Amino acid sequence: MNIERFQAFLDAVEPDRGATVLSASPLPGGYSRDTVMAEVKWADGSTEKFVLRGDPAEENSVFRSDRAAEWAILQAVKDLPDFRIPTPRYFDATGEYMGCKAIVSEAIDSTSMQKYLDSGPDLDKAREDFVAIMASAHNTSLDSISESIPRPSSWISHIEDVIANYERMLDIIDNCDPVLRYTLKKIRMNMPAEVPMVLVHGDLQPGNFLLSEGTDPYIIDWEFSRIGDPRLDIGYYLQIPMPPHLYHPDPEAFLTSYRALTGLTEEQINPAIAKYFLLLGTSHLMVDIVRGVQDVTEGQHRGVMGTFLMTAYAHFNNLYLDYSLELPYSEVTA
Amino acid sequence: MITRPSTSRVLEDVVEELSRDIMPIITDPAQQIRLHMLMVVLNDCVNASEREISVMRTEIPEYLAFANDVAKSTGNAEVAAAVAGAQMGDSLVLSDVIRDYENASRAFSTAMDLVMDTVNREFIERGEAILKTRVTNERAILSGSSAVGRSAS
Repeated sequence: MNIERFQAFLDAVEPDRGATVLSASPLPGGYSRDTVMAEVKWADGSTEKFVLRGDPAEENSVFRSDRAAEWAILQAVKDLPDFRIPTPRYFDATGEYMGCKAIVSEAIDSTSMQKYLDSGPDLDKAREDFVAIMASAHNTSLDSISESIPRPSSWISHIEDVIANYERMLDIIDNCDPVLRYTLKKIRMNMPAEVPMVLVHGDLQPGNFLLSEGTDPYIIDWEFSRIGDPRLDIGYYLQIPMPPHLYHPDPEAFLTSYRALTGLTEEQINPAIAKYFLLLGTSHLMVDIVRGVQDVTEGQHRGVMGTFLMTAYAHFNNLYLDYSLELPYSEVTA
Repeated sequence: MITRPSTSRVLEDVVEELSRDIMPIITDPAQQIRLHMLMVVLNDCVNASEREISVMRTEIPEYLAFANDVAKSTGNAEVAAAVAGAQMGDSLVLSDVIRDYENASRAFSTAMDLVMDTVNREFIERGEAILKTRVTNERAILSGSSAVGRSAS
């Protein structure tokens, strides 16, 4: 994705608007997608900024997600009243123009909630805001989301599919990690109570909330979104390393607010259940990490992430063992 | 063999060169982050080159002793077969040690599965202590979670 490619793309999708791409600069950061900020001047004299999200070359990537599925999610949620997303404008579905499958969205003049947290705000208030944004996604009526977005046939089939991520990890590495195998067994011994399925974001963290003057916050980076158990998002957030954290200082306050906004009960979500869902809410990423590590083992190149994420593997193994050690034993196993 | 400098010291020196002379001339923030990540990986390699064979050779007998004790205590044929197929050889060549370590890990898991299924508290406690040591060793070699590359923008 560069100026020339974006120019050719706009010439094809907006042939009558006379686009001139003024700039296209890669944005640093992000573990999965290549991101470019671009500025465009139209023939009528107006200018617009766009964010381009494209797939990195396979030999330079570890995390896998489907750009077409992300585009479908964006289309499904872009006009919902519950929360805002930057308007998705274009999709190069084949990579014919951009060199890779790429989504083009409007750029928002904003600051991320993570940057805002770095500025030293009232963290109790920030926690309430964070929970409210999370709940706004989870409270979205599934009836308002296009039928084109896949729905699991049942909660149990959905949870079994998430748990199967551990079987996928163990298959990839030929079953040689006892920590993952122990974690899987403890997960199966402690199946949680069922809750209604919702719109799950999959990477819900302050870095993916954009704060903009005069509007509600925007939620970005929907690549791992799906219909599923809302507690996956809570569990996922528990492992986010960037301080200040909005859950760990006071889990009860966080979850009390969340329950009040979503109607879930204390039996359905409490600190112990949240920890359990860290094991599940991160498992999709861990599958990709383990696959990347195995690819490197087999002589394939996966860019800097292939080896860098070994630190994440060790980090997750540590978390998984810590949290699964706390789970009780039962003689009933699957 | 030339032992001075050691492999770990060579890698440390490479990291120093990258940090002192290469990083300052890179102006693209994305490439700076990439280089920083590579330096994290190299620092992990410093730790690994110092200790990984020693760590694995220390853990393997623990795994096999655990699995062997479970096999004897329970008479379970599957665990006994896993132990029989996972002995530690004399070779100190890294790929040989890794093979022995992975086989011992599988034998351990087979035994641990059994004692978890039957809630054998004594063996569970011992097995969990072994897992804690494994993770502690992993974290000592791999530097652990890093926020490098996570965007706050």
